[in-house]
Amino acid sequence: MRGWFAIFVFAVVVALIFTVGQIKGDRSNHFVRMGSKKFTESVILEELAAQLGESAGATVLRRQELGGTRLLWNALNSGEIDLYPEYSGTLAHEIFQNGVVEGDTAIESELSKRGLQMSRSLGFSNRYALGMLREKSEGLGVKTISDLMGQTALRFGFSDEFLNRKDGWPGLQAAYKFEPSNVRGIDHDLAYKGLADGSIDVIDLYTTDAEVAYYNIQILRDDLRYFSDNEALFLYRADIAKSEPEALSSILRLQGRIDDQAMIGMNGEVKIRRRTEKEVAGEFLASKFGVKSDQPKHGVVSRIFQRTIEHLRLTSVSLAAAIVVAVPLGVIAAKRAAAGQIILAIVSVLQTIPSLALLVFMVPFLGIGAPPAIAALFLYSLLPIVRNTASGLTNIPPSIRNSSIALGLTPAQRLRLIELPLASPSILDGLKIAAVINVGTATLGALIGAGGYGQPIFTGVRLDDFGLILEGAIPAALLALSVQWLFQASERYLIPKGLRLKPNQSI
Amino acid sequence: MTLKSDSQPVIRLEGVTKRYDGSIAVDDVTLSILKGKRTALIGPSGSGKSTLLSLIVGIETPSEGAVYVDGRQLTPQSAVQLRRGMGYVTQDGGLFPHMTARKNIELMAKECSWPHGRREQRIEELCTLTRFPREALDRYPIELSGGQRQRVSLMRALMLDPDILLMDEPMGALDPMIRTDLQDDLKTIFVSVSKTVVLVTHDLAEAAYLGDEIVLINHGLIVQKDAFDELVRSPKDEFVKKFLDAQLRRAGALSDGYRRAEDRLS
Repeated sequence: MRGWFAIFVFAVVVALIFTVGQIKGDRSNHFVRMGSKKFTESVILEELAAQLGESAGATVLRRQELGGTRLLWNALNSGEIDLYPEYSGTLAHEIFQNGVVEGDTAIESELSKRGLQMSRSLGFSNRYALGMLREKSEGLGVKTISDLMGQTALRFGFSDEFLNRKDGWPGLQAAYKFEPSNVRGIDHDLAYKGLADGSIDVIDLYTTDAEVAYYNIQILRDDLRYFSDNEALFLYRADIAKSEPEALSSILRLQGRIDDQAMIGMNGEVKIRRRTEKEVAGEFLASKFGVKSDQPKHGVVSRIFQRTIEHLRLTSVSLAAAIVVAVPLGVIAAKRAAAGQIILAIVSVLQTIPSLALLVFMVPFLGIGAPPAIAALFLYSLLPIVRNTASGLTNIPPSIRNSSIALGLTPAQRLRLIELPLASPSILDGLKIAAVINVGTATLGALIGAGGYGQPIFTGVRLDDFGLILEGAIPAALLALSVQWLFQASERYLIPKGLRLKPNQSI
Repeated sequence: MTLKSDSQPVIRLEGVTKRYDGSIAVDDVTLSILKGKRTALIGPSGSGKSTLLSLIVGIETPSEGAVYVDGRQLTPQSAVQLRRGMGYVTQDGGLFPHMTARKNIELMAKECSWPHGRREQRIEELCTLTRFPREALDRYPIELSGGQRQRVSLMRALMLDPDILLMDEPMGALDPMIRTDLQDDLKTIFVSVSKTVVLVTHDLAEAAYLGDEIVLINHGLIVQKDAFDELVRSPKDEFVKKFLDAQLRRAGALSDGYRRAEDRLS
């Protein structure tokens, strides 16, 4: 019993420490908080802005590789980030849907209503295009998008964003009157690999992608001039013009200074020559503006350490909160049949929501970063703990239950002295399951800016860097194993001795 | 030892019926158990005798009718208090597996804030009474033999020195030799502590040996309530006759076989 009390206190303390740390860390206004999408160009642009901001004396908080446009846009609107790189086409067609807002002035006034501003173009346009391996396109004689018609055997792999954007696939189909059957969604970074290994034939791409040259890809000519310009720019909160004017004007020096070739070059340095965004951005700024920035280099050990702290925080806080909530829920579920049905139904439904969807669902309420990830992980941890607590309590043999009633123990005494100790092996099993699932699921937190072992995994996927993937995957596996081991070891303290003895130890 | 047979009933069931999803386990039973009497509830399996005991201790609540203990009606509010005046022993002992024998025995006394010395003294008395080896007090139930477990269960029931002792087939799960041992000990204990005892059993010999009065139950109804001699002398109906016959024939067969074996040896 004392062991369980210790766990309970530990859980509450962990939750408090991290919660306080969170509030202190995030609510400070002395940062310029920047975000980027989860593709290389966006990360490079954020890094350029970050280093320019830093050179002007600002402290920059980087929220790299967030899940998608909607996530960043919401975070910017709610004030969780101050600036992120965006594209004019995305702004016009995806953010302000249905083309209601047309023209730069309309967009600007729409932005200023929300307390936002946009920079001028950074100097390059990242248009959508369709591409095939040059070998294949020449073999089939496909040079333009119109040439694709009649090529019924071709397999198309498009990014989700392209598939859903009005100025993407739906518009293209309408413009070219083109209805191939063999179209599927694929992550953009994986699309190039699919193209190279021949599992797909046509992909959507961005004209500044470094892979175009690397994989020897033929960009199909947009003969109907369907794809529109997509100028890179920064979206930022208008209030940083007041709070961090030097940083902002330093960042805005990038307007008109990056041409197509420069961007393709930087993308290539990162994706193909495997250099970090920090280095590549630093070199560009040094040559263009003479800005010297000392970017601290983090070794593998310190990176993993940082990720471990983040990951532990996600899992321990969510698990601690889940213990505090789920054990009482399990008790209620065991004691009141009707309430029990409802409780179990709710936590089971929570479990069926795909983890990524649940994470993204939390963002409008809790913003980006650790809090929504913790909330989602908390909800995921409920089911195993509630169910095991309830089943541990209901599986107590009737003769023991009857004896405890007949002794004259009150219901509260029975719960504390008899039922919870007897259910403890089952409850502990529930905790173990919840913790192990939690460690695995927490990797997805990286998509909403929560960090953790998921960060190197997703960066590794984006950069096709197996080493980087392992840098996240191996510690995550080790952590899952040690959590398992920790719970096993704690059985000594948490499960009463009488329940751990084997019958053959009898005299 | 004086037994006041004219004393008021310490347990009284008035028109008690217990139904489970349509089937009737106890059917409109009215029964008084007098202070200091040892009553054996006996009947074939499924007759409702165990349910009757559960109703007295409040593990089950009557569908109709009422149970009175010490003149107070047993209700969810009064149950906790009334149960502390009753000791209850189940077939398999119902010991709490996560507690040592000692912890099982003293649990209730501890919750009632008995000081350590008083608890130790009472356990000491009980070990003597139930002939339980003191060195086994700190073992867990799983480390005890079946007979020892029943003795611990008995000690736990007697710890607060209740006036009433309720036993649900306390020897049902024991092998015959240990069973006989425990029966003898129970007889001694019953005589020495002069408590009101209600014992559920399916064994007529056990009922006759341990009970002053035998209540024969069938299909949730009390068929006959009498002392053993009276029961054998004037069985009330065919069922009683048949039940007695079956049990006595078994006993007879046993003693016949015993005699034949002895003859062969001599």
